[in-house]
Amino acid sequence: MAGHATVPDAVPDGTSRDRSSFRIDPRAIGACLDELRALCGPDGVVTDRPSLLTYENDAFTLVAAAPDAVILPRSTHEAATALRVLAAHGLPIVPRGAGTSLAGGTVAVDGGVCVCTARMREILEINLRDRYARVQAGLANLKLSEALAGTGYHFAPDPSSQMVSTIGGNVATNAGGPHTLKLGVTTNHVLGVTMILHDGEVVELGGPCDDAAGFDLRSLAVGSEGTLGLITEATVRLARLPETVRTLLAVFDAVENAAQTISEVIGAGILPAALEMIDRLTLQCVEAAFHFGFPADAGAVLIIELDGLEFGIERQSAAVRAICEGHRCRELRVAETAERRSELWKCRKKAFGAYGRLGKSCCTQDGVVPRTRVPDILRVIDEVGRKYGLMIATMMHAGDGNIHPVLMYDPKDERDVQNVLEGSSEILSACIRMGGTVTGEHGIGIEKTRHLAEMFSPADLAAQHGVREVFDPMHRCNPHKMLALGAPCLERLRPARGIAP
Amino acid sequence: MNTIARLEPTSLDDAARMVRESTAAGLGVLPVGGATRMSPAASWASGGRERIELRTRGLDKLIDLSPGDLTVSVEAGMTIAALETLLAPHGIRVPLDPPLADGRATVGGMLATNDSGPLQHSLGTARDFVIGMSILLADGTVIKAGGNVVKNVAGYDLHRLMVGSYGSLGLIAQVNFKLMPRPEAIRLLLLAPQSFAQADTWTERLLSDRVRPALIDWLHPAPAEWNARAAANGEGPLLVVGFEGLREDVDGQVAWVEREFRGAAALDAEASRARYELLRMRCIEAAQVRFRASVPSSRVAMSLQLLPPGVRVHVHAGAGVIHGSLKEWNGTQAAAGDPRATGASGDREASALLREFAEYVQRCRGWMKVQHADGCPMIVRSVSNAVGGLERRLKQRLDPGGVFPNPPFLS
Repeated sequence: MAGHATVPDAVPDGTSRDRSSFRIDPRAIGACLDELRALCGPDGVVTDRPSLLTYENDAFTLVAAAPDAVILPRSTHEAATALRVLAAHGLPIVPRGAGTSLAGGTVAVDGGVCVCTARMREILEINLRDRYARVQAGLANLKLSEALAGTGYHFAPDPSSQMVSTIGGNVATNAGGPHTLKLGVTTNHVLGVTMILHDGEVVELGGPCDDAAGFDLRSLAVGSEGTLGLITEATVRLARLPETVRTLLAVFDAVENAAQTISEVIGAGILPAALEMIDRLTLQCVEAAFHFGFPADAGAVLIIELDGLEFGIERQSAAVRAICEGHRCRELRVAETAERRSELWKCRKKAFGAYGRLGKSCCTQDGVVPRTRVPDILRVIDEVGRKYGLMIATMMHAGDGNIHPVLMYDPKDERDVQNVLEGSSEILSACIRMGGTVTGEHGIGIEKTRHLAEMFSPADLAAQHGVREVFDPMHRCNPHKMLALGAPCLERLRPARGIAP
Repeated sequence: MNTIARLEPTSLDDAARMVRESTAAGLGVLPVGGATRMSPAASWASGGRERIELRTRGLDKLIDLSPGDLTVSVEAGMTIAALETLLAPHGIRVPLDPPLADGRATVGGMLATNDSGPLQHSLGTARDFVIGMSILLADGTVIKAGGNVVKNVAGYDLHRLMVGSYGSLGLIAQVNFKLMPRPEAIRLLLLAPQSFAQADTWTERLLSDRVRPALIDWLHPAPAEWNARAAANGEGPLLVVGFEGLREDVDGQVAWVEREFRGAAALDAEASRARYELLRMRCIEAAQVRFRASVPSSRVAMSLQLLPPGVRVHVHAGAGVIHGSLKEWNGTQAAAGDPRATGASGDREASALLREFAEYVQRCRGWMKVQHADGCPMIVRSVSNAVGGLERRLKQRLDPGGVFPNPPFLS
């Protein structure tokens, strides 16, 4: 197998220094708690052990580490004042939204203070004429589109977690979702961010004009996973809702037929709003749980969503139907109404819940390959499953080549846990070899820092470290995330609760 | 001018060696693409430093084209025209449409200056389509950022940082783009509002009603050769609205506009294509002074009312981008806040008006770039000291010797 590349022990630009971990002085925490309580109110500071355990991990369930305290500021001003206090005591800052990171982005590796945006949920401005909204970071993604109901506009990025995940978290991780093929990922919808630097200084990066002059610091902040500062507000682009939508669900005997269908749709100059695929195992789980009436022996299901204007949608929809049929699609369902559409989407959206039938726990991966290599990466996943004796179900944003293999494991079985880590690693290395990347939308977090050295040269990483140090010279903002300092930290974290020692 | 050499590397290795040697010799390095936008009169922190011009036109190779993956990878000295010619037979495009400048404008130049065109409103800017990049740093190392797949969140987006950096951090050497299908059809209509205020009302309607325009451009004064009736209208601009996409969608929207806006003149397919090419070239003249301003779309009409008479403008109204030109006038530097500028005596009133325009633009959280025919571009904007500090430290960190020029927003 392709071994884990090791991350250099020192910052690879010659400025070697030991920052491999913070040693938190408990007195430093104690000393600032009163100040923090005065700022955020008694409800805004969490320090009791049982409550802190709620914050010890996120949707990446393999490891855990609780922060020493959690603060819940209510405004940018409050958060900035709090960060000045934390700076004075040299404490690490771990930003957190709804805690839905699938890469351990909110795990407090060295302890420190978790700054949670859960009480910053205001919509500050909606401007339809100029097509933007300004929101606080803790607003749940879906709440913005709900607030826009009836206006004809929406916030386009729709990660699967959108019911709970926050816009601040979406921005910090450059989140994706099923509708990125045509409309792009979160960064394509962010005009500006308000970010608090490590020392409490508030900066406005970008603004209402999408081509703001100056270095595009907004683009650096988006996807920075909390390592450049704490994002407290975002100015996001509002997109018009499509006039009409057609959703097609096509069932194929073999993955190859589904993959050829995708290639031909793209080749015909059609850019669907979404192009999703689920594999046989996923289909079987969904069928067992929800009885949609899909054939249990089908190889793959595609969901192809077209949107646009009434004038031309029928011809485009007919063209896609013909392509599906040309590749021996054995069943085709078409939805023209919102109700029928959400029925078809259920088989994709409920897949995650249906996996519960297979194993006790699952680890979702997030690789990307060029979309024409989708059949190749599916073969690799199959081989990895057999090699490690793991059950792996795969759903994917096939139009983007973004695969989500879901590895099932028993958290009580130490060898199973190890197999999941190694199997995941092999799949991600294969993505890199095929010209892809180890994460399309979930982020590096703590989970994938070691893979960066497979994708980037020491010089590339030195430039990345340089950028980080411009914003946060002491590495106090979400330390150990994205770019590792010193040894990779995944191994030295304790396993999550429930995992046997 | 203290340019001591113009070098033209033909490979990335070649370019890396030239930059390394120039840096070692204490020279500045000015990246030059098609020399259509950036004035060679760039400025360095260390004043009158001797420099080389690194011309990228020899770095024009196609590295990888994968129509099925909707990605392309090219060297940055490739002209935009050549890239378009390469992609067209496959029915795909990089959805950016800055001026081609007689075929000289390069991919790298477009990115370094974050140039855009009429389609910015519907499609976005360069940062939306750049998915990866190779960057040549001052010490001669080549770094990569991003990748060659359409979705990728590994590492900071340094490739997006380079967009609009004016060659100040390093040389954009290779670029990976995300592509989109070419539209089946494009059609334009000409409308003749009576005033800027009416143009604004109509624009708002076009942005929010049944149609989804690909472009909404205002030309003022309305060029006579475009539409005699519109030109006769005097005060108002000529409003051009364009649609692209599926044939049925385009024709349906054209019919809707004809129905809803009395006097709208629809152009046929051939005339539409020809006029679109004119729009793309930008309908302002080659003038002594040119400027570009960005404001929120709703502030365009108000901004234009502050401009001195005699200014020709071409506005991408949906995106809020205003391109303007002044034929004979010297007051620009004063408007841009440069204390050295004197401003010719007869221009004082115009100078005050342009300053008012620039101030209004900044109050709307927009910005303005001013360029004299023979001077450095200058950017006026309003950002906090903290943001300026981050920018300076970033420049210092990636180009510690100040080998590449200062960007026009950090003078």
